[in-house]
Amino acid sequence: MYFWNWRGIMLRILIKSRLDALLYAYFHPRNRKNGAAGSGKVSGTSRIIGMCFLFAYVFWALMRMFYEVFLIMCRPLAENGTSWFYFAFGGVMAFGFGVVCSLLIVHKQLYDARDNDLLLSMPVKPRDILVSRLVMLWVQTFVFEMMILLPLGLAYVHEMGAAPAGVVLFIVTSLLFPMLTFVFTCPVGWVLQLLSAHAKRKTFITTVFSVIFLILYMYFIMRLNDIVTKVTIDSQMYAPVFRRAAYPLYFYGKAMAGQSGTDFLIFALFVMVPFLLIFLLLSRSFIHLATMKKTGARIRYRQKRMKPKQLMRALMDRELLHFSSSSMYMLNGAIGLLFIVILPVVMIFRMDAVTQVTSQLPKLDLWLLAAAGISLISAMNIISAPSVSLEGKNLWIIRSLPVPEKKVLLAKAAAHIVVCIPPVLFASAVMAVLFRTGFLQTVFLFLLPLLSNVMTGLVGVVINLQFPRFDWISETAAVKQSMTTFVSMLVSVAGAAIPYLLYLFLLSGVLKAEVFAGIVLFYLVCADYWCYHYLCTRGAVKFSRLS
Amino acid sequence: MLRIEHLTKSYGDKRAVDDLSLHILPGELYAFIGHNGAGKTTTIKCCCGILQFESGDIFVDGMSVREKPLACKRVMAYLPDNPDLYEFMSGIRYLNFVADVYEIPRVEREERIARYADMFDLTADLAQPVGDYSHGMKQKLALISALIHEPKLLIMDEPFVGLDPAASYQMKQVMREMCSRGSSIFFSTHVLEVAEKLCDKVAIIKNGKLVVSGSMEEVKGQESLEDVFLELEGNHAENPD
Repeated sequence: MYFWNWRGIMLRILIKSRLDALLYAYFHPRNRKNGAAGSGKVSGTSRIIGMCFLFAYVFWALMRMFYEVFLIMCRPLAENGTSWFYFAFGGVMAFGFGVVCSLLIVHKQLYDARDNDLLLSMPVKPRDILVSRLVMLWVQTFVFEMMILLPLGLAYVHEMGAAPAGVVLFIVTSLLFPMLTFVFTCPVGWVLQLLSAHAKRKTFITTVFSVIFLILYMYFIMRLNDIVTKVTIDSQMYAPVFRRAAYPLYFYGKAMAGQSGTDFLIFALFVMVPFLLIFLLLSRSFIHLATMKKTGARIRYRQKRMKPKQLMRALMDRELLHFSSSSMYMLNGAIGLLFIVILPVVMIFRMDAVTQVTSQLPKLDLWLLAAAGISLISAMNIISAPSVSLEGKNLWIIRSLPVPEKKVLLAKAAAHIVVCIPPVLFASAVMAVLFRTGFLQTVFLFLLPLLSNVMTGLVGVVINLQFPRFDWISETAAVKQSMTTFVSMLVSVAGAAIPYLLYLFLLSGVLKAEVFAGIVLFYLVCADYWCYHYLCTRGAVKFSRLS
Repeated sequence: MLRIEHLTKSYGDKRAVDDLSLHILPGELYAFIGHNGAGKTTTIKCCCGILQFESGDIFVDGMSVREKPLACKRVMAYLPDNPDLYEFMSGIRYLNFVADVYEIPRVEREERIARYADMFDLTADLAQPVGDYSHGMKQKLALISALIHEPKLLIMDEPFVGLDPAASYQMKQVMREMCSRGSSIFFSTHVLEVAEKLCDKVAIIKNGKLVVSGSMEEVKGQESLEDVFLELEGNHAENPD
């Protein structure tokens, strides 16, 4: 009895500690001592309110989008007698969304958690550690999946009405859904762990897989309306395919549509049996997985002729090496580059569609529109935005070396610019050829996105200096969960977009495109110079006070 | 080589270092001892230009750390207690990065890296990412990077923590060799036996204030350094003022 009480208490403590860690990651006020703006702590309440608003907005926007999609499908499918297909389709979307959102979290929290050694040294059963982690993963996956399941249910209620039994079934099946996702994410997370433990080019592999995953996801989201329309019209053709391909979700659909207890039980069995098997497997091998050494393949040193570098080059290489060593940093910091490359390639092959779209736009010079588009997409890259925070516990190195602070900061911006310039030039060149621009227009088409890109690089460092965050444990916190990257992107996009919006709505009838481009060029040169000057003077002083 | 004059540094209301003055001459091996939280690391970080301080001044080779921080950093090196290095770099890239910062020519850097890496048995692992290094290996790499530009002043915080006996021995040899060439070493340690055997001078700090400093003989007299340290700690515990 005492043993079970003890285990229960330990499990509760573990779950609470995981919950604290989760809340800490998002809502903990940052310490801004030593040179950051102001002193003391950022108001915890304002941060919590800000984060709540942000989450509420993201959830609302996504749920609204999915709700509209499900409204299109619901009634036609119900009238066809294939309501089960409606729920099965929504179930597949929820499953896919859950996988996309939680796969890396599952990998990190289940197999790569930093406190595994500490917890394993305590009088806690490994199975309890696993349960505590799965409980928190369940909470996170549930939240992700509800962004699709909730609109799915609401659209059905709106169109077809609902009985109390249906609502109960919806709640119970929704609670089971994360377990279905675990059946996929837990083994894949384990494969990722094996890859990261043994693969030689793990960053490259992870990045390639993530990019492919992302492109497929974007493709699906962009074609969602087409897919939904097609599936709704030809439901008699697609329903049997769905039934074969996603058999457990067929029973989910049948349970929801017919409010059938038997179908629910079959669905529950499809979810719980594989989940329990995976849980047993994980609990048996948890110690091995948690303590797996991530040494990778051993590389033996062979002395080579060394090449000394100039200070600025050495500092920039340091930034580039940091950037290229982390797939998470590359994917979050330079996602815009993917679009900058894809956009011109698509335009080369679909020029007819581009002409059709642009002919519907207000009368604008296409080369200017292209320059605005490249500048805007380029502003989505935030390589330099977390670069000060990423110094983290290594800040002592650069602070103890005889390096002028301004060079450290400029190297951060330079790394951003160097990475972004080739795709930006490529996009500008393709646009110049496609739109057959004249000399002056070509010059603007190259210079405007380039200077906008320089501004994004500099602005990232300027803003990160105002909100540096060194208390992170994982770099993910500095890159993804940091206000500075969000603010940087917002400022960069606004800085790039506002002049073009002004032209579009106010100045297009007054100024010639070339004159306007000259004004924007002047504005960008001024903005770039101000940022550069700030980093060389006040920014350098601010950096010298960080510790 | 290192002159600390009336150094005062506070964190909020807490005074971490209080009016501390020390003078380390060229060729001296100077130990800095004190209990946890006494202010050793803060003093060391101020000397290296990592932390800014409210009052007093620090001079390295006659130059003020406040006024000429870069010139001071150019002639000294710092080894922290916890060597957090760039995990995204390999050992050799890290050493090359530091060598680039100090503008060390190719031939010299190749020779020094080879010499020190062999000495600390790190040559075979130089191509490995620093993230795969053990604590001791990181400590050795940080030490090599500190020695690579042959500093006039080496400041170290708990340098022996994490080193294996062979590396500890080599490190003591390097320290003696550096001092015999006229460089100075100022380091904090809790290993009082090492300080006693190795150092010319010692300073003891308590609650941010210098309690005693001077040559090893002057400070410890006929007793062991450990006895003197514990005695001073005890006396001050009884008479905090």
